[in-house]
Amino acid sequence: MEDKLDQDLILELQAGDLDALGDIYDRHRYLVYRTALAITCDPDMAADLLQEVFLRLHRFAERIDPSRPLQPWLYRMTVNLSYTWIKRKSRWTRYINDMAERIITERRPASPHNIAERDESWRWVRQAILALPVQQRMVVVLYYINDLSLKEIAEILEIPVGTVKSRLHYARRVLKKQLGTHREVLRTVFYDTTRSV
Amino acid sequence: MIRREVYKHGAFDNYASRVLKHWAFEFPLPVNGRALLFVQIAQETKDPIPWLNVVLAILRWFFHNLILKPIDSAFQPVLYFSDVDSYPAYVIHRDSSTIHLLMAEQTISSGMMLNSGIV
Repeated sequence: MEDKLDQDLILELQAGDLDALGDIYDRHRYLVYRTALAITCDPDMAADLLQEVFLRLHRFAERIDPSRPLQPWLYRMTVNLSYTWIKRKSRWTRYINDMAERIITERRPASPHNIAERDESWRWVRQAILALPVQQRMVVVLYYINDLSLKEIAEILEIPVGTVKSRLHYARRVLKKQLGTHREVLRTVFYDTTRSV
Repeated sequence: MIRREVYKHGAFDNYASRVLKHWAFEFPLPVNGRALLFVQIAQETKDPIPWLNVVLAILRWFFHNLILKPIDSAFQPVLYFSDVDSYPAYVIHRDSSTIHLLMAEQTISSGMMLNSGIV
């Protein structure tokens, strides 16, 4: 699998080979899941989105141009679906979910998800992301978490580079306010512990 | 994909990037995702409901655009203004249109002229 290029896998998928889809899934699942998670701030929704993105890849495989890189397509699909799902989730449902979440969290046994959610440091980060409007959040996630350039973000979101810059500028202001207050505390936690994908 | 041709990418950006990455990496990937994907694909190929939804959406579009809209347009000229009819002609409503005001002032011809685009 490692030797095969995305291009070859897409061609195999277009020929009806499901194993090729499995290989693409294994290769890009981190990218899709973490992008969806960071935009939605909801691990369950991100897990559903991960499935949905690859289901769509299977459904629309014929329309994908194998000569072009696959990652931008995956990013675009993930970002668009995340945006749609967030908008679809109505406000009252969110309140009910949040309330249920609080009740369940008290009784739920510790799982990696719970640990991540309970940790006060992570909660600040989550709140900082949620403080951003969804469109700014998408730019922030692609820029800070996925390390994409402004030009790449502009192509994925199909907006001008200037718009990306302005969204990033305003988002940075909010993040400075939200994350900056915990900066000293967080620095001790995160200092020099960069991981790779 | 390699980035950073960005202008003004400063210390805060590095810090924010590190914090956000660590937060995102704290969440483990869902287990059995690949197997679940194949199950969903198998269900999708068996299940006729997505096609049924498409057919229903097309029918709805046809009904709305080819039946309801023409009927609605056909009845436009005979629309009935109940609030004009329910008061004596000398009662002038502030929020009425110019045509209705002219008609209420018993200058129906003026109203007709305005309505027909002569004025």
